[in-house]
Amino acid sequence: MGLLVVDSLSKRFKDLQVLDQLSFEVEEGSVFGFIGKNGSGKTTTMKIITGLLKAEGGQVYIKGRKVEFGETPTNHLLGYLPDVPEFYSFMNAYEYLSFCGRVTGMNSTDIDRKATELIALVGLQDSAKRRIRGYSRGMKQRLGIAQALVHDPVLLICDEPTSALDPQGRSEILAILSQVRERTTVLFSTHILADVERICDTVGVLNDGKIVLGGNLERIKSTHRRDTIALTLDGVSLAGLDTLATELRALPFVERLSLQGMAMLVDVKSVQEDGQQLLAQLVEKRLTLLSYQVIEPTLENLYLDVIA
Amino acid sequence: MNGFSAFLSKELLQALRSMRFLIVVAAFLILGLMNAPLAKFTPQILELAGVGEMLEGLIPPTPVAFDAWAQFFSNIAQMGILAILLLCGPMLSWEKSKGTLVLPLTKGLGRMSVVLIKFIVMTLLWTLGLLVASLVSWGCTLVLFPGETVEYLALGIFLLWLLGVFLLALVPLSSVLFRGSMSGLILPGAVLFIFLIALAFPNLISWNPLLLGQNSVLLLIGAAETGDFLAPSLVAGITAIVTLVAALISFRKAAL
Ligand SMILES: Nc1ncnc2c1ncn2[C@@H]1O[C@H](COP(=O)(O)OP(=O)(O)OP(=O)(O)O)[C@@H](O)[C@H]1O
Ligand SMILES: [Mg+2]
Repeated sequence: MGLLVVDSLSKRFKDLQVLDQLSFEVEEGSVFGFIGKNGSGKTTTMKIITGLLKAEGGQVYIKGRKVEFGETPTNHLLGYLPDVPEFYSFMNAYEYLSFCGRVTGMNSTDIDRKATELIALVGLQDSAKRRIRGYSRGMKQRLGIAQALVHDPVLLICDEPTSALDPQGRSEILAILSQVRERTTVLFSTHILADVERICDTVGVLNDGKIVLGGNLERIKSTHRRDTIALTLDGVSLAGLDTLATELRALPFVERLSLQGMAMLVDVKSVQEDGQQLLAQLVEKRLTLLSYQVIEPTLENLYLDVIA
Repeated sequence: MNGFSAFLSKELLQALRSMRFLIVVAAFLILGLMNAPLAKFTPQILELAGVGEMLEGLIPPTPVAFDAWAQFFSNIAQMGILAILLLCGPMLSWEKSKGTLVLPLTKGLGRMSVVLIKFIVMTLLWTLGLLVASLVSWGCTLVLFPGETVEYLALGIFLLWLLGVFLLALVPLSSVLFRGSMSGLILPGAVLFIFLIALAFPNLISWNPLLLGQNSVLLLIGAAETGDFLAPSLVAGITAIVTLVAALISFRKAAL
């Protein structure tokens, strides 16, 4: 059983069915990328996992313990960064982290050590003694990551943690997320697929209230590989390309062939064997190859496919 | 009760830094300071203004300490209570609507702790304010009306205090049931309004908690007996406990 188990969650707002029997699991030690378009229900799901919102049906388990709506003992296991974190702006970052530490029952030595360590980790050293009132959005996002990690939670849930950050900040936060995976399982939502490809080992794409694509990222990519070869040729006119396309389509191993400008996209059964035959054909026709590329499916392609 | 002391110190720090603490002290200092001089010098002021003749018989010619305390009770029961409600009423509803509770609550801060501490700190501020006003008023009366005493002063002030606690105890439930940053004021406002209207019904009046504010001054000149305040005190006390318990229970299952 996964560290986080979401089992047939249903949630509706008036006549809008946001989650429809949503189920997925997050394994211990993984970094799970939660993807879905605006309004697909990512934040709603996270609020149910943290007990802030009531689901009409289904249940959530963290480490085998059931999440209750409202006050829930599972919250001791959590670090949560909401999409727009709100702090006590009359405190400074250091005071806020100490407050969070005390809430979770840490002793003052641990709090001191952890707060100092986290402030350095998220790069807030220069403003740690300034009131949060004056922080920029990006600074609040950094503090948000720090507060979620104060008590070394078992599960870290972040709602679009990189959305307010500059490119460097984004990079730093992603590094932190993948760095904490040794002790902490991470679930984060995002629209930035490059972030997912960079640090996630597992993904779930939420659409129409369900996971429409989910599991290990490498495995998803290999099962969805379409063995496509992209070719560009030298000295062939558009008309010539058309004729060539018709000829190649007649070959038994070519499953599909399309033209994209001067490039030719050929779907074959197996890149290894059929690719050789395709090359042989081109050599026979005395054509000069400018480029030959095996296309890997990107998460973006897969995502656009499944939510279409 | 997880995180009780952490949240309590946060709340006290906030009262200090948000100036709420200072405002309470300053406001009640002024409320305490006005009564005795006003009572003492009203006849002279009216004389100077040339309206002394017209008001002959309406105001006592030689003011006594009781007049100062009558001023005090009416000021606190109206302006004092209004001030403390406006200052403390939004304490929970503002946090709820802003979302500042989300981070501590999702770390396991007990929801009971939140409700209890909000009530405790509100009561603390009210007690502090009332104490400041009472002491200042007592000092001024001592100076301006030397040698004069009034009966049942401490009991009268306690009844005022109870009225305040009764209204403040409605704030948490109000904040939980209604949305919006000022929603903590809805229930106390409504209850105040209902009991003000209820003052017009003679057969209900002996139970009305608002007597604790208006009428407790009558104790001081023997125009009312201590027993008269038992029923209103019971209504206030029981209502306060019931609404607090209701707030504790409903906040445990509140969506945030
Ligand atoms: N309190 C609410 N009342 C009514 N509708 C709501 C409420 N909260 C969310 N919704 C609706 O539920 C749907 C899902 O919202 P949610 O915030 O979970 O989406 P999301 O996937 O987080 O989107 P985004 O990527 O923009 O953050 C949206 O259509 C939203 O309008
Ligand atoms: Mg969202």
